[in-house]
Amino acid sequence: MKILLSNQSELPIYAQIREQIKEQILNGQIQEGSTLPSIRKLAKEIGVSVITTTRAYNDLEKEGFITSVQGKGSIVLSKDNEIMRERYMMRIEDGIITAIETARHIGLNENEFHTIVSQLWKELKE
Amino acid sequence: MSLLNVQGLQKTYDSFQLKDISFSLPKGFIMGYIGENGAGKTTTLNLITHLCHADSGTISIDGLQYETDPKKYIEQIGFIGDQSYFPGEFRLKDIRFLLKLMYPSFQKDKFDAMAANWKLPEKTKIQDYSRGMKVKLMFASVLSRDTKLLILDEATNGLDPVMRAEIIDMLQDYIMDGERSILFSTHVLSDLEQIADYIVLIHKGKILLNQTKEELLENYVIVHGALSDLTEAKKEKMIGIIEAAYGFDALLSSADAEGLGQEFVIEKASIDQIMIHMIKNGGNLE
Amino acid sequence: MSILKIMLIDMRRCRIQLLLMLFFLLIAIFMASSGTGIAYLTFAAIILATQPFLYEQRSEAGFICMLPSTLQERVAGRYLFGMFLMFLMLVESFLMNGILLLTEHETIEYFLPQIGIYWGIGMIIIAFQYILFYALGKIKRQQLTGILVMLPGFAVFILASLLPEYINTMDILQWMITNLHTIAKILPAAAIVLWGIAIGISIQIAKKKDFV
Repeated sequence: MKILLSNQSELPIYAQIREQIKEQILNGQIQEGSTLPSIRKLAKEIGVSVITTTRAYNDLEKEGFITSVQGKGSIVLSKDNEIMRERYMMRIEDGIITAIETARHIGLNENEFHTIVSQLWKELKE
Repeated sequence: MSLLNVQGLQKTYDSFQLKDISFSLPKGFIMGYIGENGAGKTTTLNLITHLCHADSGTISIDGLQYETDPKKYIEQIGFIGDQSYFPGEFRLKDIRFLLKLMYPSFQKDKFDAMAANWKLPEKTKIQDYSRGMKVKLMFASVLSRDTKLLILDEATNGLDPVMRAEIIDMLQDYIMDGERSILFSTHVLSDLEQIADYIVLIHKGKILLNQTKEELLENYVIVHGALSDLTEAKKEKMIGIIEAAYGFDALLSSADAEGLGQEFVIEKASIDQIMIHMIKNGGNLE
Repeated sequence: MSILKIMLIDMRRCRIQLLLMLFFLLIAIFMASSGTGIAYLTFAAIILATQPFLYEQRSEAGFICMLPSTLQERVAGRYLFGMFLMFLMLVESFLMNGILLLTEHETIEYFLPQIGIYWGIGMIIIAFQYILFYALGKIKRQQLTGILVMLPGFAVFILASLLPEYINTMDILQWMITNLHTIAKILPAAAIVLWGIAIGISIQIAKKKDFV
């Protein structure tokens, strides 16, 4: 993995790190399934602050490029990766379960629940 | 989890007062404590190391206050200043004696390895050490024992770039395990900009700013331009306008900078500049 | 014990002064027969005892306060250093007397009472000096510190040397001689008690100060 930072760049440092790692993942220079250096190790190697690398990794995780595994670090995923989808599915289900339980707790029925879901789906555009 | 917690520190001297200083440094991070000469940086650090007594307020390191266990409290701190605090008459062997005597966690091999690596002379008195050697000695004595909080007070002043880079390396090594933190007070902000996670600015005894470095660098830009191009509305948004022969420099929030106009030059702000303009603005970021 | 550690550090730092104390023994031997040898050693000990404070006047931050120790330990350790010098004075006085015995087959007059009195006086003066230093804190003018240090010691030595010439010493001497042994026993004891009080006072003073 190569990171070359420039002070002249428009992008803030964390964004430069993020974009460069993204590039290298997309054109295969960083292999799928490989482990990225830890946040702290990377910070030391490039000579930036820990919060900076944390932010870069957080962005990469949000965009689905990497995932962090307890005890192992950050692992590179491919965008249409089974494990990735599964994790997201779990998160979705967890969220829905909480919502259903709360709905039942206050006495909503299934239709009312579906209505809320549809409404919110339309309202939240992204 | 905060490693260093400072709440409501107050200290009054004849000509100077430290007012209501509060900040918190989480474990595993580096905080840059910046400000002009005489702003109160060293006073704050002296209060944290308990060289001086605060008039009011509390300080805790990893949950421990000085009063609860003075020795343990001091042991947790590794201090590196711009002057050597070892007796000038001492030599390296005296330092070893001292460290072994006072610190249970002192590791002689580690100390000797660092001293050898940096070629610290055995026979020379500490007072005859060069500035660089003095700093390295302080680092060796601090890093060869267990500490939780590293406090640096202008430690890198007057050192050559090679040594500064070495020190930055050591500092990042220190926080690698995520359990220890560094409080770094300096004027040489270029070192800080790289590795600092948090920036706290103190001015005339009060804290003006306490943010992550990322936020700071993201939220502000520097504007250059001609004074004649400034409308009243635009002028109001500028922070700490400094006039020069060719025009003016000012700080501006990134949000306000959008759509400012082609006649102005906008560029990234450095921590230095943020500090200068903010102080010029009467200590405000508005 | 931590108090001993502080004393050890002071001793290491004041290596030269400890060596000087030994050197003064040689000089004292020559003064032995004139009877002022013990006073001389006491004078030396009083002055050398202030050295740690003088060092601290020079450096920016009290180096000892950066070490893991409590205020009480630092103060007590310092006093212990002073006491060590008085201990040296004792040892050297006996040595001096022993040498005198060997070379000239005589001992110093009133040797033991002199020891008792001078030791007691020395301890008391050191205690006062120490309290003074703690009370003054950081002295602004470096030259003043030198003078301050010499003052008490000088006073004692001059008094001891010139007393006979200016005061009606006969009556005082009579009284002293008759009560000599009592004085020689009470003074050291009083000195030690005073020391305990002095340490307590110094701690209270130092609590309010910075860089101590």
